[in-house]
Amino acid sequence: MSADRLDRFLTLSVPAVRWLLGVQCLLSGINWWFKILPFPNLFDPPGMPVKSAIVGVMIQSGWMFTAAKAVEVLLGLSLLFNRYVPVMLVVSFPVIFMTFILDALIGPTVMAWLQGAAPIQHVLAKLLDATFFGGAVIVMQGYLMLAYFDSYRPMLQARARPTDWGAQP
Amino acid sequence: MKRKAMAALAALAILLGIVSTGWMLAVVNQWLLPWSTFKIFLPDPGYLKPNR
Repeated sequence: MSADRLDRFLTLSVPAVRWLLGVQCLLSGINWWFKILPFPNLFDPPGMPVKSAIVGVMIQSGWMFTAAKAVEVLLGLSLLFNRYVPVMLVVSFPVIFMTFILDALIGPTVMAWLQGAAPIQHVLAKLLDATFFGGAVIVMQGYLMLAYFDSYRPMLQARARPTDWGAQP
Repeated sequence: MKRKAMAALAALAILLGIVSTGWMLAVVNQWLLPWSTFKIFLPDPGYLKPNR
């Protein structure tokens, strides 16, 4: 690919990934209050099965999962309206990282398969889940954070100085 | 080298994003795809009961 085409691709890929991650986060976040997807909802009957025990505990806390979903909605809006993108990518990183890591921990499933306690279909399902759910969001988030890296440069000082209030007018 | 690495990451992000976001859009209110398609990502299909 020529340098010009590469630069053009890189320029266009940022809004493309913003939209893809933005739509996904907005839909996933809204689903907590308005059931539109086959994912946990605030009004699901108690005791509904969830993907992992940690998600169940977060829901039972009464606030933790709601907070995570609110962050998802805010990230989705930020990405779609292209406002405060660098800061929202940082604020939402713990939520996105947890989404990824809970899907990526397929070790127990692989061990169960190796011991004959789980069929290969379980391993394949977990691999698909890890790739297209957790993997997709962390790759999109990571790409965007690298694309906006110039916004983070001022933060990367080894010895930062706090505001000098004496120098303020 | 940096541009090519970013372009490769961009391509991967777009590919994964199209598949995952595309599926998610398709299953909103079971518009284009039924929620039962989620079972290919789950060992246990017990998650698929809609709250209706």
